[in-house]
Amino acid sequence: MLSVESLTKRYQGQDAVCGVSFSVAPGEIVGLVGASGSGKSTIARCILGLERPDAGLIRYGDAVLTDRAGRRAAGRAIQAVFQDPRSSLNPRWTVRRILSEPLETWFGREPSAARTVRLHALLLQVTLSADLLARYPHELSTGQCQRLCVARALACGPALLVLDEPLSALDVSVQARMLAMLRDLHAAGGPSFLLITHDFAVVREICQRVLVLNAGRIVEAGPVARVLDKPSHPVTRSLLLDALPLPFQTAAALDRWVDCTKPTLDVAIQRTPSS
Amino acid sequence: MADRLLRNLAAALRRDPLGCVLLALVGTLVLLCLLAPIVTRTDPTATDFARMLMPPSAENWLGTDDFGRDVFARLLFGGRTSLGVAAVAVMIVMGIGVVAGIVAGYFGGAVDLVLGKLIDVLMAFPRLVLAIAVAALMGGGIASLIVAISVVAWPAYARILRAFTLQVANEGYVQAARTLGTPVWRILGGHVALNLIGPILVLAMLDLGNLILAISALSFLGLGVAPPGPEWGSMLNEGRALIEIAPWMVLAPGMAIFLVVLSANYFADIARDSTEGRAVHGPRDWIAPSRPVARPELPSPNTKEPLLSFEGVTVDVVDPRSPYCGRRILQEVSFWVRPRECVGLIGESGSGKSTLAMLAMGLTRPPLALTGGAVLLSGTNTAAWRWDDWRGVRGRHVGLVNQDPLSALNPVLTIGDQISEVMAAHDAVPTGARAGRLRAVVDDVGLPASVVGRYPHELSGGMRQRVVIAMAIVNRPALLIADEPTTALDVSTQRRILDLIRDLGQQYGLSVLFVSHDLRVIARVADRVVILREGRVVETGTTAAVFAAPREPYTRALMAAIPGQHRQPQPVEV
Repeated sequence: MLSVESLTKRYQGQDAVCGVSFSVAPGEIVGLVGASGSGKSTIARCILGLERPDAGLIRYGDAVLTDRAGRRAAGRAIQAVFQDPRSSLNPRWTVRRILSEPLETWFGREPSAARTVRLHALLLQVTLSADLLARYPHELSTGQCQRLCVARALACGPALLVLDEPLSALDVSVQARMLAMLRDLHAAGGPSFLLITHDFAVVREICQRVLVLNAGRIVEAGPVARVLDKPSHPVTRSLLLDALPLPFQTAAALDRWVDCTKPTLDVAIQRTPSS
Repeated sequence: MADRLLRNLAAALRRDPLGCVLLALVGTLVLLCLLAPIVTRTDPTATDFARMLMPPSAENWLGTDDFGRDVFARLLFGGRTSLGVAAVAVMIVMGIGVVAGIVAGYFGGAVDLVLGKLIDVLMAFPRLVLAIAVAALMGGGIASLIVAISVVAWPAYARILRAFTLQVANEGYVQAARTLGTPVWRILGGHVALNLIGPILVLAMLDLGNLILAISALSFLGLGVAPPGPEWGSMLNEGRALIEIAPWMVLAPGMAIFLVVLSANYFADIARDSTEGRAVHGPRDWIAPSRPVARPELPSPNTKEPLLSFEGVTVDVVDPRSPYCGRRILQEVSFWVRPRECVGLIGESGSGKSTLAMLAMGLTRPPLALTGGAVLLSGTNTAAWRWDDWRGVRGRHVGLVNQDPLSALNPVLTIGDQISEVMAAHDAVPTGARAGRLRAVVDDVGLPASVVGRYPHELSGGMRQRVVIAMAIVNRPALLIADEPTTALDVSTQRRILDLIRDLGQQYGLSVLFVSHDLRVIARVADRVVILREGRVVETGTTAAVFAAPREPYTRALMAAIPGQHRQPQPVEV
């Protein structure tokens, strides 16, 4: 579906991304992992048409995304959610207007009642309450803002969602709910995901395939189980070692009580403060 | 958008009696000017040499001028010209300035180059000289006056708005809109221009005054309003020579201009604040020391006594202007940090964990205030400490490392200067020993010695955080407060920074209050943990005990939420 072929991008003479090639198949969740400065976000920005690559091709179906016309042809099929949900939302717009922006662009004007129905459906998809429509972003919690960003991206009906560090600005319990929501979305026939992160724990949770990036090059790629359990490249190994483990007592304890406390857990998480 | 603006504006005015008075005065003045032919029957240009330079009286409310004309009538009819021309000119200037500035800033490249050069050329001429030339070429009259003023005034705005646009164009929501495929004109109108409305309003209002003065200057030169016709600026000029015998001739138009300009500026501020989405916080209040400053000396951390303790700390929002007035941030929080101990404070956003960290630094600021309990440093109650007392403690006995190393460092100072500054602020290190201490501390945090001469932007995120840690420990404090120090870093850097903090703690016998929302981080560094939720302590205990057997459902929920457990457990690494 999406294929990136020897993509290269230089900033001030230095290679940020150097000859990267990979592809994303329909319905797939691909993780792109690397330390900061390894070029993860640059790849995302090139795919989204926010940066012009210096060399290489990005194809979506028959369209070549590296030129402007190709990006326009691919249009709404590739959407994104960025790291900082607060800055991704126009502070002067209400939730209704934020969500209407892509609808207006791609589906034109429609009667207000029909629009409201559509907006409610979108909010439901990301488990947000319908009475948020009249609110402004600063009146929402960070987790709600990030879900709003996902809803806005979904409004276009994309085939591929690029998620650039979507969890790193969120609290742990909010991260867990966000991950669960993404998993549900995908299970319900949602778009493919290209998930950019530095956290292998997140990759293990949700991804099917993983690409490990170091200094602008892909050093290892393969199914999550293989790469995470039998890493072949030293960079992958050191990234895996550096990921903070769950304290071992907890890992053992969790197995014991996670199942029996499941209902309580959900209640406890639901009651967490929203601001 | 529009109704929220009006609502905010109305609310702002209700809180602001001065604003209401100004609004009433200006409203009356404008109304009088508009209704001038009805309000006064006197012809503003009718001369009567028998009644020259008469002081204000029942017949001539504001006196008469040197041609015996009624000043009140001239003021009202003159206001129509002055205010009308200024308003039209502001609209034209803003129209051109906003469009040119936004287009140049957003598109950049060739568009920016051409517009930029045009702006440079226009700005190279003195404003008034160019206006005189344009007005003279077009041959007098009100229309040419407006054109002349607009031509010279727009480049300055275009330039300012271009700079603002460059800033807004890099915001996440503009990038998001581009990704969404929103048409360019809609991005410019809905995102960029809308978020520039604050500066646009302020500039427009500020310039109203300048334009009124520019109009009067041109009128004085005979290029604007022809002499017998009334106009505030020309009235001012006519009265200038007679200021000692007939001050009312100057005072009437002078006060009118003063009132309009003052109110315009005042409203610019109110209007700008009303367009902001969120409430703007008032400045930090600086409490003047009411007594000689007693620099608190903290004993060295050899005792068993807690170094930092919170005893039933309660914090509320007390500022009545805050929309959250009365909300409780912390509710009877009690825990302590012993010497050589690392306490991990776990909580999600809004749990009050950063408020606690700020309390320990004496940095609680309005709208928050400590309403119950006490914060004790080495057994001393800090309740009576004033700003200067705290200044002796911060950076000397208590060091702070916060989340964003880039914003904690000054971009124009070298690393060495910034670390030395902390030493110079306190006399903990003798002047002669400072160079040696600087080298030692840079080495301690694992940075190469060459880093001393570099600037923050030349360093990576992890190196910057090391610099911030060096600044925090250079005076050998007893307590280090680390507020989410690794949240902005990637996993490898995070781990190294955590290990550094732990090692430094052991090396110097530091106590550490480590604040984070990430349980994995806390599990690595902390000896004891305190779990905070909605301003209350939920659970405390040693790290091993809490992580192995959490008692509270909330703690369990937090642990279950750690990602990476749903497929298979993490490879255990000891």
